[in-house]
Amino acid sequence: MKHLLNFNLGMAVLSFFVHLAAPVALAGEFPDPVQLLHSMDANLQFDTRTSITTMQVVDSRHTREYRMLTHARGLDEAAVEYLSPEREKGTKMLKLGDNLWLYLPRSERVQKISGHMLRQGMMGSDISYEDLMQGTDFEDMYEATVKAEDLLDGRPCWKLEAIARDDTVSYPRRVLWIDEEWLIPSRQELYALSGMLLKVWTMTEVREIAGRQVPMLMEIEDKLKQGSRTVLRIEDLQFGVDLEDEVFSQRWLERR
Amino acid sequence: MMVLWIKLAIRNALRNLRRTMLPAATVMFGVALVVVALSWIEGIMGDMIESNAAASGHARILDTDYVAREQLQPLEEHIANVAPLLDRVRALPQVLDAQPVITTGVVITASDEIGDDFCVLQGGTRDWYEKHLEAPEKLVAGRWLSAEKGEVVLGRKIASQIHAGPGDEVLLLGRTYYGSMSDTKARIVGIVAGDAMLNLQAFLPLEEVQWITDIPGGAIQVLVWSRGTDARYVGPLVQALRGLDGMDGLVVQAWYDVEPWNMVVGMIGAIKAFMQFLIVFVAALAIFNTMTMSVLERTAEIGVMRAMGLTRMGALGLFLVEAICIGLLGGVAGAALGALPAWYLAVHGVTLGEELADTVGASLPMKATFYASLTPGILLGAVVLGAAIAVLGAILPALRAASIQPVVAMRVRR
Repeated sequence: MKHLLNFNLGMAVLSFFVHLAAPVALAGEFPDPVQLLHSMDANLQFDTRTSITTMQVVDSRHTREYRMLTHARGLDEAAVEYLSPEREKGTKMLKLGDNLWLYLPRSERVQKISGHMLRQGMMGSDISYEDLMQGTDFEDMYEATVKAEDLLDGRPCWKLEAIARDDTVSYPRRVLWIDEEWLIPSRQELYALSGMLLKVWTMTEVREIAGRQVPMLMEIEDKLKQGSRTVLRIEDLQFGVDLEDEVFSQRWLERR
Repeated sequence: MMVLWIKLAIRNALRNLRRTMLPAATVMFGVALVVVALSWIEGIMGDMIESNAAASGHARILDTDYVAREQLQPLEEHIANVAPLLDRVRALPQVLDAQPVITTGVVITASDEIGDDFCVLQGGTRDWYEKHLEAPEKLVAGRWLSAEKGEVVLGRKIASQIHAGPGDEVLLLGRTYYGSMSDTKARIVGIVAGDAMLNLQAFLPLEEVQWITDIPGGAIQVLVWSRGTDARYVGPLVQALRGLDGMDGLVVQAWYDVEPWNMVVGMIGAIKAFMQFLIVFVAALAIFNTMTMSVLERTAEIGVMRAMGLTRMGALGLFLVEAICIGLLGGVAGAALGALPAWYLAVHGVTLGEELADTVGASLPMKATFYASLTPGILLGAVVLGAAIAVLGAILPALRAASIQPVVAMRVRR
């Protein structure tokens, strides 16, 4: 079973842009945007994966670091467990389709996250729960056009503009720089309906793992929070891991 | 001389009763309106100030940077070790009491879903809750917090919002001062109802909120109480607090310098002044009209009196005293007339309803029922206002009377 990029803190955003596997087909000077996304998908798709990620949340006064174990199966199933710091240790998140649950070890409660809270930053980071939830139907949600060929950190990229077909999505407009060789969105600018720049996502330190080009470092800057940024670093990543069904169940959430 | 003026003034006032009653009635209704309106405004303001003083103290000490971004509740700008500061504050003679408080926003739920219900979480000492907030007296269900852990008291509005009551378990999801997610579960032991702000709050012991925010032994602010809310008590209190040792990086604010009070107090003052001006203006016009007519009608008489030795000042005084008599008559009657509805409002109030109070009172401790506050000061002030209206309205006609030449005046046909 082939799927797109799984729910993973280090990779979540990539899932927005990858759907189908197809080579980039140049139409004149610029490639066809749909096919460009398909090619990106071909680089990133997998069945299962397990990773250990550190998330560094930096604001104007503090820097704090979280370590997480992530299991993902396909596009719709993901499980995250916080390994450190001590205060957050044992906190778990489970994504099944369009639903997101949270397990809070201190309260020993499983809560489904909904409504306004989806827009809040996960553990106070610049990544909202909503950011983690969406991105399964990018092709349906956005209409993309290739705007230019550009250089990003000295590497050639295709610059795309993606406009949402539906105003209800979190980011009605995105501007992406897709690396021509690695086929990953090296930089994204996420805009509100008003045209205000909300977030900037960058992906660097690309490594080849199991024949795929994988960004090991991702930085998210919330432009509405001065001096705030979140850095995600994948420490360990394995594809094709044999994951039991229980991992993606509410029983796993409550298991100590 | 004054006795003569008063006698003449009363005689003149009674000489044409219909002409006298018109300005007296105008003053009466104006003064009555002032009594009712001022009583009500004083009552509403008094209630809000008392509620605010109970919840927020007469003055407060907090981090300078917190004040600058207070709307965002920047928990990182807290007072880390509050105990030594409390000792120094409580030792001041101007201080009746001082209490540490942490206020923070949390997401709350009583179900297995969380995300849409937010409330203000208060973390306070037992003394603050009982002596100042008087929260246990506002219980409408259950009981107040005991020494047991894992208990919470909710405001009526927030309890209704999450469909929970005493005995139900709730999850409160907040954040630490450095922004990390932080939770606690607690059983609802009581529901309180009061002003709109209280109704939207949850109450936990200070230690529990110190854990949630990860500020052990600390507080966001220290609330300080003096002998009263009046500036003559709060001003010296603030000065004394500012003079304490170890206040670097901290700011002391009187309650009336804190938003929205710094605007509300001025705004209410302006509303009161405008209303008084409007009533004075209308009533003074009526007096002016009446006294002008009186002067015109009595021009010949004034001429005779001037010829018999009445000075200009005498003529001026005669009309002013007559106006004051009418004003006092209208003022006393108006104060009595206004006192009745003001008393009714003070006893029964006017209920706007929870919904409206919650909407209007989101940032002010506004109650669902507005009560008036009828004080002797308002009644006395209203009577004086009546006299002042009369003098203001009579001054021009009186000056006109004083300027009449006896020879010219006596030529005027009666």
